[in-house]
Amino acid sequence: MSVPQPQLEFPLESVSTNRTEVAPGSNVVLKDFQRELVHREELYIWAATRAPLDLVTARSRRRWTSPGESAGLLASAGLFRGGERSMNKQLALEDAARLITDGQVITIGGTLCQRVPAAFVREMARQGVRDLELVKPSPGYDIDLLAAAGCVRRIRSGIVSLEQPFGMAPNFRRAVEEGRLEVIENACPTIMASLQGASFGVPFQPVAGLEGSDIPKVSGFGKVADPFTGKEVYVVPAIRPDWAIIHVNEADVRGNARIYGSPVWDRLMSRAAKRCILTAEKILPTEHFAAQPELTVIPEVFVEAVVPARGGAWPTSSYPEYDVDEDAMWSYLERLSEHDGLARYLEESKSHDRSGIEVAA
Amino acid sequence: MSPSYGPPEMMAVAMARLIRDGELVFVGVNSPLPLVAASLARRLHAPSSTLLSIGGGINPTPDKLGPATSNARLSVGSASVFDNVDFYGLVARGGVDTTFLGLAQVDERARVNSSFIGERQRPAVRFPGGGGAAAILPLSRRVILWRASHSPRIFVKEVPFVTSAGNIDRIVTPLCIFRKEKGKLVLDSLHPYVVRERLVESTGFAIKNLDAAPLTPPPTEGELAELRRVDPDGVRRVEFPARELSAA
Repeated sequence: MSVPQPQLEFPLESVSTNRTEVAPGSNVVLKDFQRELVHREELYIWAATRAPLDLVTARSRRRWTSPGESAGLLASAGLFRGGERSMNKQLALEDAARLITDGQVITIGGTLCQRVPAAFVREMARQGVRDLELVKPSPGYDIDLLAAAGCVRRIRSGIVSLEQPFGMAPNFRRAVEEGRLEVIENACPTIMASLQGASFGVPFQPVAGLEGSDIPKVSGFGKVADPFTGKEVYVVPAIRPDWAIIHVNEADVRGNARIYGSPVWDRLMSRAAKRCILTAEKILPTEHFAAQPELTVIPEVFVEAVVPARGGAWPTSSYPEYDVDEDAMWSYLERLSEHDGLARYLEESKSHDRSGIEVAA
Repeated sequence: MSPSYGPPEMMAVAMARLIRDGELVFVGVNSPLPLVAASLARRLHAPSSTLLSIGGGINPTPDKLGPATSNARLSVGSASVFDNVDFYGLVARGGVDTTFLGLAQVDERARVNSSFIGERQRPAVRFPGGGGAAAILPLSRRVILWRASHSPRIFVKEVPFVTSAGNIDRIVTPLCIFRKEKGKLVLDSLHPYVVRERLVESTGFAIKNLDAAPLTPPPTEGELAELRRVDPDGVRRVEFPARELSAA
C-alpha cells in the first residue's frame, strides 16, 4: 500500500536522543512529526509527553526539557492546557484523539470521501474508543472504518456511502446487518436541523418536507402545530455532540480555520458541538486569518484542539491540495476484507497519520 | 441497436432531455449520471438552466467530470460557494425546480425505499439511506429518479419501508422511462433496444401502459457528440453493473 509522506519545506538535521537543545528561531519539528513543540524565549518545550524523544532540528542546539519538566515549564509559561485556557491549542494527533472517550456523541466533518478527518478517525480506531454515537448527515470512509473497528454503537445519518466508483460502505453495511451498529434513520436535513437546534440553543427544530415518509415514525420525530398559523410541522430534537472533528485547509494555533471549497456541513457542526477538534493541512500565523477574517469559517471560540495534519484527510480529498486517492481507497477496501486486515491497515497508516506536526511561524 | 450508444448513453441523454430551459436543477451526492445529464442539457436545449451541485458550485466548470459528485472540484468556476445548509434551505423554501435522486427500491405507487429490508435493528439488507430525499421529494417542484439497474428486486410491488415519497415526475432506467400518473407508475417509453417481454420480466409489478407506450427516441448523433465532449472519461458508465453493460 502506498502511503504518501509529508514534504518538509526547510532543510533539517536529524537528531536522535532523549535530551537535546535547539537554537531560538530555528525550525524545529519532531522526526515522524509526532509531538508538539512550543517555542518560548530560548526554550523549546516538549508539550506532549508520551513517547521517546526523536528529534529533527535545524542548525545548532540549545536546551531541551525532559517530559517531566515540560509540564511545569509550560504551566509557569501559562501554556499548559490542564489549567487556564491556553491560546496555543496545538496537540499531537494521539493526544487529541484521547479527548474522545467511550460513550460520547461525535460529529465528523466532510462528506462521504471528501475532506474527512481520516487520520483522526484511524487514530480513534487505534486507541480503541468504544460505544460512540456518530451524528452526521453523510458519513462515508469515517463510519466504514469506525464500524469495522467496533468504535460506534449508534449512528444518526441520512446517507452512508463511499460514492462512486466505490459504492456502498461494505464494513458499515456488515456491522448493521449483523446487529452491531444501530442506525437511527434520518434525512440529511433532519440531522442538519438537530444540529441547528443545538447551535441556536433551542430544544427542537422544525423541518420542512418529510410528508409520506416512514422516517419520522421510526425515528421518534414529533409534529407540532405552528402557534401562529395552526399549520402542523415536523420537529426534531436538538442534538449537541460532545465533539465536532473537522479537517480544515488552514488553521492557526488558536483554532481559527479556513476551508476552501464547500464547507459542506462543517460550519454548522462547529457551532452545534460542545467543543471542536480541528485537524489542519497547514498551521499559519493568526495574522494570515486576521488579514481576511471573512474567510475564517471556524472561529477560535469553538475550538478545543488543533492538530497539525498535513495529508490528514487522505485517502479522502482535501480540496484544493489533493483529490480522493482512488488506489488507496481500493487498497483500503481490499485490506479490510482480509483476516486481521484492519489491524494491519491501522499499522501501515500509522506513521503517515502521526507525521503531521508543524510549528507555527 | 446502433453500436454508437448503449444504456449509459441512452440514460444520460434521456435524463438531459427531461431538463427544461431556465430551470434550477439540483444534482446531489452519488449522482454521476445526473451530473453528466445536467451538464449535457446546458450544452444542448437548456443553456439557461442552472446547475446547482452539492460539490458547492453554481454552474461549475471543472476541468473534467469525475465519479464523485460531492467533490469540491464541482465549485471550480462558480462565482459563489453554495453549501449543503444553503441547499436544504433553498429547497425548503420552494426554490428548486428539478432534483435528481437515486433509489434502492421503488414500488408501483412510486414510493421509494433506500433504507433497509427486514427488522430495523438487524436488517436483512442495509441500503445507504435516502440522503435528503425524504425532505426533497415533497419540496422540489419536480423530481427525476434514476437507477442504472432494473430488476424485480428494485422495481417491487410494495416497498417494506417508505424512505421518501412525493413529486416524482419520471424514473429513468436502463430499460425504460416511467412517469407517475394518479399516484401510480406508468410506462412512459421503452428504450429502443428493449423488447417488452424483457421489461416485464425485469419488473416486480404489472406494468401499466405496457403495449401503448412508445419507444424512447434514440440519442441523435448531435446529442452523442456533445455527450462525448461533456464526458470524455465515461463517468456516465461508472454506476452500471457489468451485466447491464453487456446485456444491452
